[in-house]
Amino acid sequence: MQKAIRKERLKQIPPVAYLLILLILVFSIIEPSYFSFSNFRNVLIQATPLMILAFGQTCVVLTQGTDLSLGAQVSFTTVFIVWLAQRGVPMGLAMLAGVLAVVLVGAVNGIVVAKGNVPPFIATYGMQNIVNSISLMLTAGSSIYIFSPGYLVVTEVKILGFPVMVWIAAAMFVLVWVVLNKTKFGTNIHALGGNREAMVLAGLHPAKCQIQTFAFAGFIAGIAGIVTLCRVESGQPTVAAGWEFQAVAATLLGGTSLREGKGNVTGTIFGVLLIQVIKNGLNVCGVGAIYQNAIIGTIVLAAIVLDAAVRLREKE
Amino acid sequence: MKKKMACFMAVMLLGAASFTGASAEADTSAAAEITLPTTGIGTSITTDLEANEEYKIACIVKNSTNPYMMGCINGVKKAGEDMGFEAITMAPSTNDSVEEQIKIMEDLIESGVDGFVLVPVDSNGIMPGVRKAKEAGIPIVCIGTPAAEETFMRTGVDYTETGRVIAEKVAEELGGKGTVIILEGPPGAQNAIERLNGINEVLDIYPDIEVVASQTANFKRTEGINVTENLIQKYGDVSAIIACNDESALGAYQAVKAAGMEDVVIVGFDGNQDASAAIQNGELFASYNTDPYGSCYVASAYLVQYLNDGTEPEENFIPFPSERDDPVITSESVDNYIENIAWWKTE
Repeated sequence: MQKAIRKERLKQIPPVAYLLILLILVFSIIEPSYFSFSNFRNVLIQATPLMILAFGQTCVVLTQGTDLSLGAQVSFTTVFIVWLAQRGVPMGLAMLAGVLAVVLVGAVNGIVVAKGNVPPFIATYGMQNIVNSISLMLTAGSSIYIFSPGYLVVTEVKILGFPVMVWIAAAMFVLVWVVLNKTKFGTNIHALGGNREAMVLAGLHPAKCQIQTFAFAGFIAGIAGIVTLCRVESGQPTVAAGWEFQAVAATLLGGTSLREGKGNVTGTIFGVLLIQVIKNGLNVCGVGAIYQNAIIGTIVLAAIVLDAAVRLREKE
Repeated sequence: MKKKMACFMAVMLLGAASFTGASAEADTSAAAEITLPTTGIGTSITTDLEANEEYKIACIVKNSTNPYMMGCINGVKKAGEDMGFEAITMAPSTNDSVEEQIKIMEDLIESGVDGFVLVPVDSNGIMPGVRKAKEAGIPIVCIGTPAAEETFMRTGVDYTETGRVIAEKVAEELGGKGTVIILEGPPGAQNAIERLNGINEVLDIYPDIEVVASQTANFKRTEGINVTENLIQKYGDVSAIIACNDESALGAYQAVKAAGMEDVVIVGFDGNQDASAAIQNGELFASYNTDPYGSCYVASAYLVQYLNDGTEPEENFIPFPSERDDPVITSESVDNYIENIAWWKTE
């Protein structure tokens, strides 16, 4: 009996986790300096902004959508906060306004998708361009800067050996996990992706849930934006370009399905870590940028194929 | 302190000299005081310096697509071969991502590099990485864009100087008389503003040279064509067009050619491949070799010197190539430039 439970638990670990361990072993053998606490801390620090963002993307993917404006939302948040702060708004208030602004962006995404019947891919792609353009307008194309001691609090102050930003990611994980697994909103998200018709029959409102999901993803992107701002200490209009796709890849790697409303945010952690471990390992080994994307692409594809194969065998 | 004083005096003298119209001479003498650890420019650059140990020197550029960045990478690689250190060359996998540059710095600090040759995407954005390198005691040489706080040193061209030198060349060619159009760089870009200031500084000295228009062409060839077309519609025959980079200069030439104008003195900056060919064909009058290859080679040499015996650079900012290095490319020097110096050649 005990054995069966253990086996069941083992199955819950996504295959990507094993790949992660394998990669860490490989990099450690190639480059001895790789296997150290400070390097693993580096990996966690570097993974943090994408990690937070991917939690939001996971929620959207669970509803059978993708939000391609999330990267643009992160960049916009960094720009908007600095822009407000430059105009005398206190940093804390500017951060709040930055998050609210992208919640609004998310809500508009949701409304266009739910009420306008536009596929999420298209709606959020349009939004990506609009938001990117606004960021560039606010900064006249370059980056903008204002000093704040708050940056260092997030990136330098350490609790139990890890900087505050890593703890923010941990807190966001707990929040998203609780929302997805313990609240009615979470149940609705799973239902929206799994069986939309049943939702209507049960007297629930898919449209409302869709809008809430995109707005929630916006909120998470706002938090990712604050962390990114502290990380680059300036408003960067293109800093998060392409992160939305990395977040989708991480979500899929983590075992969340694009089709059935199944999956969870725990797997996403492993997905993000896989991407970051590859990048960090390649940097430590001094592998140049032109090779990096090909290597990352190959490993991500391999992981997804492996994942699909394992699932197929489980079904049989 | 004394050095700073001397430098200040030199600047004052220079300022005074430029009012009397003798700026070029004063400029060279001020810059010539510094002895570089290298000789030559571009791919002809060499050094006698040798690394005492096989240091690891990492070159981090902005992207892996821009020819300027490839010039940087090749310069550090050659320096590694010549001086005997291990050259690690990295670029963000997303073009111009300062966030990834920070990550690369963190990762390389972890793997134990001895020095950085860094082309920062953004002065303020790169600071977290710069601070971590400082904490780890790793010297950084910034190329072109400085970090927000002073690092070990900085090299690359002095943009104001490039503007001054080229404008001087144009004024000379025009005999101190004529009408000029300036094609500016992207609005807000620091290097473009500095270059423009340098140009205006010199042209202001000549009472008979009139700048009829100064507009942005965003460093782009197509915009160079459009803006020049519009401006020659409005102002007719001009004597010279000073474009703030080669691409917009090449655009300006196309517009001038289409309008059937001759003898317009067109100049650009960078000494890139197309511009070199255009100078050979007499389409452009001159360009300024901004030499990423040599800049990064010089940067590596200063790092090796420091790692060998702790030698600090004479100044924190040592412009390279500077006027002392003869960076102007004209029809007389272009053949030699393409043959022996050009930074864009791949070996």
